[in-house]
Amino acid sequence: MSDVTLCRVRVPWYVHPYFAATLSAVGAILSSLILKRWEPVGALRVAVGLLAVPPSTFLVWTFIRWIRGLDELEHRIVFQAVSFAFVTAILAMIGMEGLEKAGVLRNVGWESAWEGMVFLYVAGYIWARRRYR
Amino acid sequence: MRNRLRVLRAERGWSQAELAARLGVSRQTVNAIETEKYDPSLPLAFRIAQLFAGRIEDVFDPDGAG
Repeated sequence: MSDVTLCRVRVPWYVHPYFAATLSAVGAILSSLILKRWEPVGALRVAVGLLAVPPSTFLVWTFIRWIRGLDELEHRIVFQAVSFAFVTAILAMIGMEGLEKAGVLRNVGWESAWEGMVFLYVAGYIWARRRYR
Repeated sequence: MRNRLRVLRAERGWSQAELAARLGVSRQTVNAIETEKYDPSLPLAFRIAQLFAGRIEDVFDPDGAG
């Protein structure tokens, strides 16, 4: 058995969080691309705008499924990573909102907040995992 | 919390991976318990004690600072 046994749970590729994350990213890119290039109207515009929601829901489901298969230390590591990402993201948002109100920052781009949270989760996961190595 | 897991495992000639498989946890969990970076839950502590045919206090020392 290798040293890296944290992800012990073997899942089929089509229900793996990595595959779901790829689908979600493809959905988000397609949505932006179609809205920019073809500018659909009416119900089609709403549908295209929400294109990333179904694969993202699938991503959440695969993530929960993956977490359920982990052992208690791995649960703790994921919990600490999520907590780190959540708290740090809130602090960053409060700070950035304040700077935006003060006129120091313009067009912060809050639609990218979730990307920041994913980055913070990965950073928190690496940090928490190292703690118990 | 101090524990004798490494000693008990060595007495049986098991690797960390082997012990992890017997307990149904990852090797990292066994390592974290042995290095006293992580205190297991009560159910896992019972599983460990049962595996070594002893009591929880035979494996874990509640008075030992971890």
